Amino acid sequence: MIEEEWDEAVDRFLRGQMDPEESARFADRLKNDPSLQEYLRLNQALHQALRNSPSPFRQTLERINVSSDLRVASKRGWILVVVTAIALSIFAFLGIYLNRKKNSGPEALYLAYMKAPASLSPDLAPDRTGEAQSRSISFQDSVLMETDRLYINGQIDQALQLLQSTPEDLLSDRMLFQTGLLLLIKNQAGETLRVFEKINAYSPGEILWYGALAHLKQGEPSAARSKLELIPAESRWYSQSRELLSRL
Amino acid sequence: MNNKIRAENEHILEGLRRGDLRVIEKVFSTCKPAVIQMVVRQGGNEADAEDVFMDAFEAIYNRLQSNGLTLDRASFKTYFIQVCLFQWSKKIRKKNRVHQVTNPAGEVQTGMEEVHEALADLDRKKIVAEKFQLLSEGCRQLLDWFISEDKNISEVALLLGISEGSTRKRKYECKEKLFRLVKEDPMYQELKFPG
Repeated sequence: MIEEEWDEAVDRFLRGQMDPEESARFADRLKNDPSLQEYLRLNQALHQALRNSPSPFRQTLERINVSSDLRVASKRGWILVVVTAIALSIFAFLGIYLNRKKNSGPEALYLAYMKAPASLSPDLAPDRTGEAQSRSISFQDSVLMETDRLYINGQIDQALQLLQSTPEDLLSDRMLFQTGLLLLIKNQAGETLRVFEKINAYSPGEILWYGALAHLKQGEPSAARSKLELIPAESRWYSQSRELLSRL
Repeated sequence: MNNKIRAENEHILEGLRRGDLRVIEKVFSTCKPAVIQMVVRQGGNEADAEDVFMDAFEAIYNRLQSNGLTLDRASFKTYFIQVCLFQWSKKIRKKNRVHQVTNPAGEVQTGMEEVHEALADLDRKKIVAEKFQLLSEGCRQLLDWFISEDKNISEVALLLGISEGSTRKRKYECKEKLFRLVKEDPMYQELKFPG
């Protein structure tokens, strides 16, 4: 136990208030008194804790630590941004690649290019040209007109049935073509191709175009390509056939 | 130890002695990751590692300023990590952990004597600050007036409305209470260098 008077001496020592003589006496006592040494150390710790906490050097270390942490965080942030950007680019590239691949499959191309016409025989419609009523109508034209009417009304099965019920010897190439087209609309591509084979003389561009689409529906891109390449330049399908060829 | 390491050590110690920020930052960048790795491997976390790193750095700096420091057996980085390992072993004992603290480099902690007292000063200061909070408000106020605000006996006596003798006695009693609490802390005994 340190006496009260030594507590006063320790305080004066720590405050630098001792004169040289007192300081020398205190140093002598300190050298030979371990309990006073400990008391001094505890007082030094108390002074440091209350007066100087944290120390100026510690404050410098704290500042550098924060800025180095920020630099690391910033570096980590940049690394994260770069990695995220690379990952997103890879995903985007894969997405585009897979999407293109998906969109360039025969079935996808068929869906992209197969557009059912608004009507099958617009030239024969009496309410559009007015001509049909003023001339005699052939059997074939009357069937085509009825087929067109049914088709326009959305009665595709009935339209197909009408064409298919026509005796073979009365079937014109145009009727055969429309039969094939309706079969294609009904997703019966194999039947379409068989019907088209029976056609002798009808617009080659139409036959080749819908024939190519039927092959695509069948999953036969090379057969489709062969037909597309033959589509003549004057056909209304020419430009689309070139486009489709580039995607095959 | 080769001349290159010796020259590097001198450059770092001289820079630290002068408080050269570039040298301090270099110590951060070269030693901190190794200290974090060492503490985490020994069962600590990053916050523990940061405490240990800062204490070691401050202790080395204080030692340099008070008595100087010579490094003739290892590079500064090796020495720094050894100081951290030494500080961490104390900290882990305080936490009553069961982990066995080992020296990853298999090296004996040589040269710790120089920096031990500087580390002990920091630890002592931490314990005192912690126990100070356990004192009564009256004692805390009185010691604050004397130490933080640097008031003398007569000024404090006036504030308390008691005699200077009673004030002196009360200050002494408050310190006694505080130091008793400090000495009861098991960590306080750890501050003596082992062996």
